[in-house]
Amino acid sequence: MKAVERLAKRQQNWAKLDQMVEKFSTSLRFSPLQVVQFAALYRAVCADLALADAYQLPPGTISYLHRLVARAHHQLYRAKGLAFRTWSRMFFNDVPRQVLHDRCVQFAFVFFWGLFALAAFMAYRDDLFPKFADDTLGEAVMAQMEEMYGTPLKDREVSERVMMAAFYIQHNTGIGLQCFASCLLLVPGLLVVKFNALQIGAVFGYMARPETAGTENFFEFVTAHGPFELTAVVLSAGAGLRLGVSWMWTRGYSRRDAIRRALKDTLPVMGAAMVLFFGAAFIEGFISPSLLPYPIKGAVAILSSMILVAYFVVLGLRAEASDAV
Amino acid sequence: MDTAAQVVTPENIAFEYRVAGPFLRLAALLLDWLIIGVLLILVRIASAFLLSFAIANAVLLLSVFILMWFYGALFEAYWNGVTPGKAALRLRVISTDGRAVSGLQAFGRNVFRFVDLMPWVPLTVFWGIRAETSGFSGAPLFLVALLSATLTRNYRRVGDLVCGTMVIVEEREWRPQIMHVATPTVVSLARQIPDTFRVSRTLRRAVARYVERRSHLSPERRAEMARWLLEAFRGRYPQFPSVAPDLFLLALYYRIFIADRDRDEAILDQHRVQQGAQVTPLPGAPKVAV
Repeated sequence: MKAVERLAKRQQNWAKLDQMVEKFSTSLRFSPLQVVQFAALYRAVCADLALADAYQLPPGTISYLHRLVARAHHQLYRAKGLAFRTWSRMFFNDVPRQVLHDRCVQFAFVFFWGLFALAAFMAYRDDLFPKFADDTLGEAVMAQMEEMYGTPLKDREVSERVMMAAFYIQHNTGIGLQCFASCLLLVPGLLVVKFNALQIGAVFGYMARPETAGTENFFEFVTAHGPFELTAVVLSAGAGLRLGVSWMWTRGYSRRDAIRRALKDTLPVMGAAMVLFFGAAFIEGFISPSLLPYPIKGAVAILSSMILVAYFVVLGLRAEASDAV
Repeated sequence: MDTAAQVVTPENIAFEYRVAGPFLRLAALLLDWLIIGVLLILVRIASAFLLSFAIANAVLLLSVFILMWFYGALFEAYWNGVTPGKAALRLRVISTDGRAVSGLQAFGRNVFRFVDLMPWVPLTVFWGIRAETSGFSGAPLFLVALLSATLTRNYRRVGDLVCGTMVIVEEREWRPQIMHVATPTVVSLARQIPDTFRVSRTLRRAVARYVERRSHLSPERRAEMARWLLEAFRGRYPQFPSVAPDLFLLALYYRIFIADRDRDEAILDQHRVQQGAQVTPLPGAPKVAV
């Protein structure tokens, strides 16, 4: 059979499949019959493409078949969206186990808190490092801090608290995601973490100075949401570092496979960090600025620390034990 | 073609895509950013009318957060690898193994866009504004993405490399067709091509490409291109008449794709030609002047 006859026989099939692909790509409403028909047509066209060479079809037709099969393939094997059902296992089993003994998270912890403590000390001891706080924060930020915390915390409107919570979600989670993403290249990531650690540390040190106005208000404000927020920063940096390290020390895998495996482990950790950021943002928006007595805010901080310990240590050990069995 | 990526499907056949280049993808990205910008303005206006000042601000901040970090991920996960910008340019994100992207892949490749857009130039450089400590406050230079796309096969940016994805073009090509070349001259010439002449795969492809495109070529150029084949052919079969090279290629095309080699078929053809009838053209096949 010559190409011309073959074409005449098959062209209707192809045109029909072409039509259905266009329809399927804009709407997902179709009857079972249509699905069956689509699959049958797709298989037929696959067969035509497989035999295109033997059929001696002209190259233009073959490349048309390539494109047609590709488009039909993507309508048949579709993206599944976000698999919410697998998330609970991911968050309550995989993430704690992954984090518990992760050297990168430990490194990020030491790196972040070390720089934080250093910056806090240097900003506090104005007599030893006279220009440190000025250089790190800048006059404007320092003035803004004093103004913000100089007056006692006021009771805010609910709507205003919602706005602040939204701001913290947007701002802090954004920083966390940036830490995570840029740690892929190690150096920029470490710079971002360093920057944030120095900033936050310097603010703490500066506000702790006896001559600064608003010291008490400041510490009253930051107590409640501190555990969640700072842990989330460390977690996102640690997850990012795990990725950045994975493609350098591949442990025998190809770089591509090593990074793929690390991604599978670390994206859920970043997800957990985002949940922590959201939690911190709500505490920061609603509890931290409120007029609740300080012990209650302290209790919130203790409770959230306990939740964190329970999550990472208890669940982590349990996951390890269940994996060992 | 160096811009083709091959994939083997569960049906056990291999097919090819055209991979999208960096600048097509940049256009799609800018289009998406434009859409995000318009959406934010709409949210701002709508919330300003409907809600109190603080709540309106909260809604705006949350929309900024969601659109900035999750716009691409949500669309790609639920729209089968396509965002509105990509849809407009007929691009699609797929796994390198040819399957659809998973939710994690879609999320990951959009988070790592932050790295791809590096280095961020602080706005201080342009307007003397003190660079904000975070957020997309600088101007992206896209250098990492450009570098990674040039250095890898299939123009993959860092986010693609990490998540094992690539972006392809979904072309709707022209309808498949056989060129209508069956004039009496061509048919009679085709019958003079000896039965022993076997057409190789590459020759078949070359002849088809030539005939499909010859309407764009000037007569001189046609002669120039076709001459080589005719000379080689006449070297092997000296008894073949010396005709216009272009005509020879048409005859070869006819012989390869349209006429059957079988004797009786040829006789039938001859009969039809004698009666002045032509081989029935396919619907939609364009006429080719000979």
